[in-house]
Amino acid sequence: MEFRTQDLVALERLAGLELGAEEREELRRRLTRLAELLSELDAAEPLEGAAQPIEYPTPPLRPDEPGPVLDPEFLLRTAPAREGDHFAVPRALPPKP
Amino acid sequence: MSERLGADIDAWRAAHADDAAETYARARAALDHDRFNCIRHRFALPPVESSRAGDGPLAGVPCVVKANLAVRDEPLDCASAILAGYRSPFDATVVERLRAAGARILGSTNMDEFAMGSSSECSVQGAVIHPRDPERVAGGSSGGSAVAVAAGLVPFALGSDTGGSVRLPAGFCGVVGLAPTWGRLSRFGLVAFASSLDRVGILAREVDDVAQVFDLLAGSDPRDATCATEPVAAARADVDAGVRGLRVGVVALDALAPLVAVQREVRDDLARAAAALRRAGAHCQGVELPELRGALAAYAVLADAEASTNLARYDGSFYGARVEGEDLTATIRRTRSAGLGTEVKQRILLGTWALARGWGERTYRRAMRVRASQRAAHAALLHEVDVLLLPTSPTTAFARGSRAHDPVRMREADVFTVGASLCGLPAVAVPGGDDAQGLPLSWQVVGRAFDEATVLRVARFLEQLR
Repeated sequence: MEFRTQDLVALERLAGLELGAEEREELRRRLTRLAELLSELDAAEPLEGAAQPIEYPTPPLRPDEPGPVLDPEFLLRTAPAREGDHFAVPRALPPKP
Repeated sequence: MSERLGADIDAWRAAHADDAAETYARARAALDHDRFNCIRHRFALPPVESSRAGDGPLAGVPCVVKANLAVRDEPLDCASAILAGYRSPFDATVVERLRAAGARILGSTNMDEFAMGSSSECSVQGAVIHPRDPERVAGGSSGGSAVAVAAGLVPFALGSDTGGSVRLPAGFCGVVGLAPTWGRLSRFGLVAFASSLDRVGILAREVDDVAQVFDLLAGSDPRDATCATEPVAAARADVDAGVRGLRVGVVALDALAPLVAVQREVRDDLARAAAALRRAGAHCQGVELPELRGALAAYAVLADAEASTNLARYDGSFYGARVEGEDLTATIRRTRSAGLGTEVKQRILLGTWALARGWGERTYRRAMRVRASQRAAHAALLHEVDVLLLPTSPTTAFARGSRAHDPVRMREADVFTVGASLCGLPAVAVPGGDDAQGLPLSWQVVGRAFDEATVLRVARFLEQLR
């Protein structure tokens, strides 16, 4: 299977990326190369797939009791941007006309 | 747990029990003169004022942890530009347990960005340098931890292993590296790459030290719902019990040709280990590992699919760096495109493809089926034998830059490690001899789930063949 440039553009949109032309071509080439390896999966046996590596009893949930919480000021100190006591995030909706 | 202390950790404690402050200062200074680019961040720890090392089985013993493990108040960036400036608000559970044992965590180690790589070349800080040959890779992704141990900066280090990221660098650098059973060590505070594969691992120069640290870290954690509550079988108490009577499945390398090219010295050293095990009373039998390249492909799909979802959180809103755009979507794209390296983008794109309906979805389902068949095959093998013995990698450390642009060649380094990863089995890399270039060879021992004790017991025997 060969990944095409338009495949990369579509994948970038899904993945929240925006590549330059040179990096896009490098990654297109690498993904096409990886597709050679993935052809090994064509011979997969018709089993039910496994999402987990091993099975063991699910640990019980911890008691639903109040406990210590992280310090909000500490968390805000490493925020990309803040406004007062809040994380400042990019606008998700267009401003009102 | 036995009170007998480990070779290197014990030596450290014995030599420095009464001059802890000076020892601590010397260990910190060693990190400042890092010739191997193995240290990512030096932690701003308070000076040690007492001359006594303190209490606990690791009292005063210095160590480092991979830069994807959370240490409160310290940088946590996974060697990625996208987490520049981010500091952890809490300690990982394994870090808490190290502190409780008295260990001093001096800093974090360089790594492949977000633990994605087999060479430790893909870091925002540049490649980790191999301790014996600067033209060779250190192995990845926990290359900084392996080199810090191999170079003698610290007696032990923590890493993480998703597809071989503790075992491979341990093998390339000539140290011991344990990937415990998936779920045996808490992952609270380990930055997620591929959640169904990630494990915290331990690296040291001696098996006995790995066993000691394992015993201190293992056990359930109410903050990690994937951390097993199975009773912990202490590993250290029996580490010197020998191999007499154990059944060892020696992986037949000839059966792998031409699918996997194995270096001649790797073959010879495996035969040497098998012969020594036989002489010591172990029952060795040849076994075949099925679908090695299929396992490699399944690992690539599953790990990258999980990475694409786990790394979706890095969008410039709450962590690290942000590159502003004209709207939310543009900000996310620019932040991720500027902050993530090419290898990480490759993984995210392949994972996105694998999870896309009508696109790679069928490949993803096939990968889950291969994982199921790997589980069944390993269960059958480990019903017949107690442990599997195989090389850690088909070759010794390869040349820097030689595989950087070929993702298949890069991933072929993991061909002997991904099986235990897909099945969550405990596996340890143990140094063998050297090849003709003077580079370390390495054996790998894989055991049944939660049976680290037997795996380390065999490893302890093997390390004495060096």
